[in-house]
Amino acid sequence: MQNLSQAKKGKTYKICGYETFLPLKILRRLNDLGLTKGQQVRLLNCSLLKKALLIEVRGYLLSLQSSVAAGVLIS
Amino acid sequence: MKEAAACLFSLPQVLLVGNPNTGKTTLFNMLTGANEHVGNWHGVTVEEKAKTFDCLGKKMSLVDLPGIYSMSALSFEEQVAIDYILSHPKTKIINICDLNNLGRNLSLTLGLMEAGADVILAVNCMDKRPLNKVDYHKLQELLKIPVVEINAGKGYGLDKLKKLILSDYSPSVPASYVTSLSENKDVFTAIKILEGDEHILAKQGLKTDKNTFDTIQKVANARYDYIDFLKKECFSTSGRVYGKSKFDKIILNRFLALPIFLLMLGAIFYLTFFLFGKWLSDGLSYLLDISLGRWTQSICLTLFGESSWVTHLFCEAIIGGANTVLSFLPQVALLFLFLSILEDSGYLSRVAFASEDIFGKMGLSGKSIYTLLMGFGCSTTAILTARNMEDKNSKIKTALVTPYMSCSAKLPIYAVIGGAFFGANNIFVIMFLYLLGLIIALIQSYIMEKTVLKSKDQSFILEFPPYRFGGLKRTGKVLWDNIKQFLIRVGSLIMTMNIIVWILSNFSFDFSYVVESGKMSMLESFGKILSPIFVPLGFGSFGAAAALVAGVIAKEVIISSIAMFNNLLSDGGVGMSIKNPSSMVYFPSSASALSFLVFSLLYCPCISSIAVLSKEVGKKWTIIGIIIQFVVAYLTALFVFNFFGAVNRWGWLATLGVLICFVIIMLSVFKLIGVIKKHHTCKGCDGCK
Repeated sequence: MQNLSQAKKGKTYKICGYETFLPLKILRRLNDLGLTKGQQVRLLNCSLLKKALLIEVRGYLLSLQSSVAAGVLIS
Repeated sequence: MKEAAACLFSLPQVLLVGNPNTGKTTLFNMLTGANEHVGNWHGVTVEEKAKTFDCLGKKMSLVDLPGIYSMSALSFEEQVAIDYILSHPKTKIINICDLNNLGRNLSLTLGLMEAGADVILAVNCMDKRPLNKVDYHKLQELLKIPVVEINAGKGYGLDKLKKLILSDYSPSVPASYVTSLSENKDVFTAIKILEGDEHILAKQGLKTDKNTFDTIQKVANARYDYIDFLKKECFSTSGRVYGKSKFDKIILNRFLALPIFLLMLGAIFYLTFFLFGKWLSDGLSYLLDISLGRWTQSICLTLFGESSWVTHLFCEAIIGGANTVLSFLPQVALLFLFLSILEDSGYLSRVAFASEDIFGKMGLSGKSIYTLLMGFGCSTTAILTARNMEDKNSKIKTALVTPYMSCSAKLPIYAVIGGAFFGANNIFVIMFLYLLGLIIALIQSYIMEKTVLKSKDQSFILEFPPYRFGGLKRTGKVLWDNIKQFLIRVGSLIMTMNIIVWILSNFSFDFSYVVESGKMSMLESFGKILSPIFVPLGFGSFGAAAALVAGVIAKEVIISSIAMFNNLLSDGGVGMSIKNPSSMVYFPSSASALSFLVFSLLYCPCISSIAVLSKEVGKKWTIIGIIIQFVVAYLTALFVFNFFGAVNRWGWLATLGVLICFVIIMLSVFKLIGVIKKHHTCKGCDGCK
């Protein structure tokens, strides 16, 4: 198990949970946006210093801060 | 005005609710004939806006709300929308969904249904080739709410939508998934308690518990499982990804992203200040001069005679001053047009993504780029968009640094003064000024982050919209709107200010016309008190000081005041006159001109920005912000003046050498202070207590 901020570019993963350090607000937002348990995500791109990631989820594009992505567990 | 507002609230209301960037404001404009700002970004609308519309003969009030993803808010503008929905129960809601991303959008629809809202689902089909095809009949049957397909931009399906607004049906039975979650009658409250929503919990006197973390996920899973079921029943998807584009490979390239953005900005300013913009402005300036200018002059001369003050008031203040500003119409309109194309294109989300690295470090967020970029147009409207922020301190920081962005009203100053002193090199001066504003904004925000305004829970979660071009019709409309706004502004605020400034500069305190009486004008007496402050910056003439004071009302007035003071009826125009030592506003060297440009870029937000700032961040921060800006402007201009003065005298190398020595000395001083301070806080000594 690893987290989303360690994902490799172009690879598809499955969300298998969340780290408990994520604030509830953020957890709710990620879930509202469709990053639910069992959902497939794909890392498409990251910014120069890797502070921001671009993922593909549920047929659309979402960019995330890497500190948020670090709370998303994937396998 | 008040009557109209009262009438608006007594009418039956219809709320426009939906995910960000699904076309709510487009539909709002279509239905009410309003002209609210739209763009291809998540969070263009930041406050509720109401207007009446005719719903098949019945007058109703339509309320446009900021976009939300769910009934739990993360940023300020989302809270505005959610509060509004919850404080207006039993109100018809049009829930706009983007057909291309219907699955995700439906999660909000379910959220609204949980709240027992009276929802009409309007599916907005913006593209010719949508990513999804939907069996609306079946969707309506399953969701048990009315569903209609519309095209908000083209106005398709609106009559059907209006019929649905008027038709009565009892708010939907909660969808099957809800009953499986809770048997509680108030489904919404129950779900929000399960989700640990802070607002609802506070109302119920409850707190989050250990299980909340899991329940949030369970609730979301239940919603999305139901959406997956709906998808299976009534969708056929193309499999393409919404918003994905081939261009992103280059535009989002780790190393190229920011250089591409800077190049694009450079191109915009080049096109605005030189090439097109300049040709058009020069042409317009000439036309205004030979038509309006000459006519007024000849009419006034025959009516009042040459020496009358009325002639001068008309020629110099009313027509002359307005003409000076008016001739920049093409450049201002062009700049707004480019910004609007950029905003519509969907590119800004990509820029936000690429700049999150730097902006996050500096105490802002990638999302701040939208506010800052809008600040190149007009800081007043830009400051409002700081509501996109989630954290209060990030919002204050973003709002306070926005006035450093060089707004379109400062454009004439650069063109006239920069043009006179730097000629063809003015493009570098202008780029330097724009970058300087941005860099100072970042530095100030960084210092605030490290001291008084630390961001606590600013996150960066942003959806990418697809690339779009608004089309020629929209481009024309944006252009026309901006021209209209500019003309109104010149005709009202700026003309009034010009007249006031002219009267102050031509009459003494006992109201005698200075040209005849030879007394000191009111402006001169005031200006002479202020001007010593600016002597160290290289522009100690009282006219320059007075122009800067007048510029606080509106920045355009700076250049029209200078034109009036220097008597623009003389030959050679404003550009020549500021080089002439006998003029009222005179810059002895290019260093002093540059210092004046830097000072006018940074010194103070205009009066309307101050009003918006105090509304958005409070009086305390507004006052602090203005003081900081003034100090920063003064110090930067002082540095620029002395640095360039030194370069002119000693050459580049020597100046750089001196500067480096100075920095080393300063660093050692700071280090020394640090050492002394450390000494003070040592544990062994009681002396300090």
